[in-house]
Amino acid sequence: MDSSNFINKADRVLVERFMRTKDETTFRELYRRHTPALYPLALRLTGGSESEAQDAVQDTWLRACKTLSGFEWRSSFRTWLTGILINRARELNRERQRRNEEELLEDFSPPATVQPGERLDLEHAIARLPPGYRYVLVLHDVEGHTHEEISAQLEISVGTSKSQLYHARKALRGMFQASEVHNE
Amino acid sequence: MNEEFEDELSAEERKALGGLVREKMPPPALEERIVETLKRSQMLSPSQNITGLRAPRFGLAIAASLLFFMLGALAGAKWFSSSEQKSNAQEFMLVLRSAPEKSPSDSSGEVMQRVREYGNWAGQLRQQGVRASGERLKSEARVLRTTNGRAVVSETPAWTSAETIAGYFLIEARDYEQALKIAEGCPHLKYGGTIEVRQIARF
Repeated sequence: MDSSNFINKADRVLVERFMRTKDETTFRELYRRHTPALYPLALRLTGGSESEAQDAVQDTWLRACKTLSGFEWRSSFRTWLTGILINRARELNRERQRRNEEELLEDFSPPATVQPGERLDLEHAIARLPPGYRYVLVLHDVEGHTHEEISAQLEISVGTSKSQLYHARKALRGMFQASEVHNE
Repeated sequence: MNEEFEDELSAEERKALGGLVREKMPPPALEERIVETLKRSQMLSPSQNITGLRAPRFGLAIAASLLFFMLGALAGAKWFSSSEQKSNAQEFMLVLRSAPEKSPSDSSGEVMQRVREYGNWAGQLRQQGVRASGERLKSEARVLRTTNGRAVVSETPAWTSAETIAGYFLIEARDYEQALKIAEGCPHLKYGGTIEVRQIARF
């Protein structure tokens, strides 16, 4: 049995036990198995906002518990949770944009430009990408998803996924080049 | 199709992206918040009786994962409303105060190290059968004041002395004496902080 099969089997045992008993200890075990992988993804998808990332993780688990009986094990439990998280992170981002528009506020996202003297690290640079670019770059280049998977997850065409990735990488490279120029 | 968007990462870029953190646990309070929300929505069975026969198992399960500062405000609210409260136990708040220069900034790595240390202390208390929960507070604050009959919000720190409230613990103790003895063991003191012990008023 390879490790991914073993992990899936362990998840299945825990999920089935949880569905049967609604037991707190079992839930905590599932939470601790998967949340360490979900949280960094949530942070990146929400542009580094800790509060939104935590809300996304919380809503992911609440939705997962609510819809667990409909989960058919066509994917791994982790993949299923990740799908819920991606949707929730996008909803939160849309809600924030709508709120800012209604209140005529500037988005709190940091600008995608580099200030003179500023040193940039990769996490901050990713956080500065526009949401569409950021989702695709994070899912493809950090999480290792294929364009086909991203197309299904984000409900965009494969072509759009490729073009978003191309522009995201270009924007990232541009930010680092600007940072180097400013700091020379 | 889409050939104009074909683009390969350089080895250096691949290495940088591959080096990003893949696993990170969120603050412990999030787990407690989710558990409490699930309980309120009746999607989770109530936790087993902490003071009952199965308490050691529950306590060990909590302690085993102790990177935790505390159980969280919601857990605390449930605790105090519990009908299982020991009749002779009193509730105390330990108000942790620190001078700003002795407090690590919210974003520093030292914060997590302290959170773990404080959490371990609370975990040891729980293993000994002493209920303990609480939270660290971020340094930023919003302050409401009434000026000319209107509520005005400012970001002026709420404190006027050299120390600010860095966090709190809620504990259960027989009396003040025992509460003070428990507070003496809190790692906050060794970092130069002060602990104000106040009994919760129950009517």
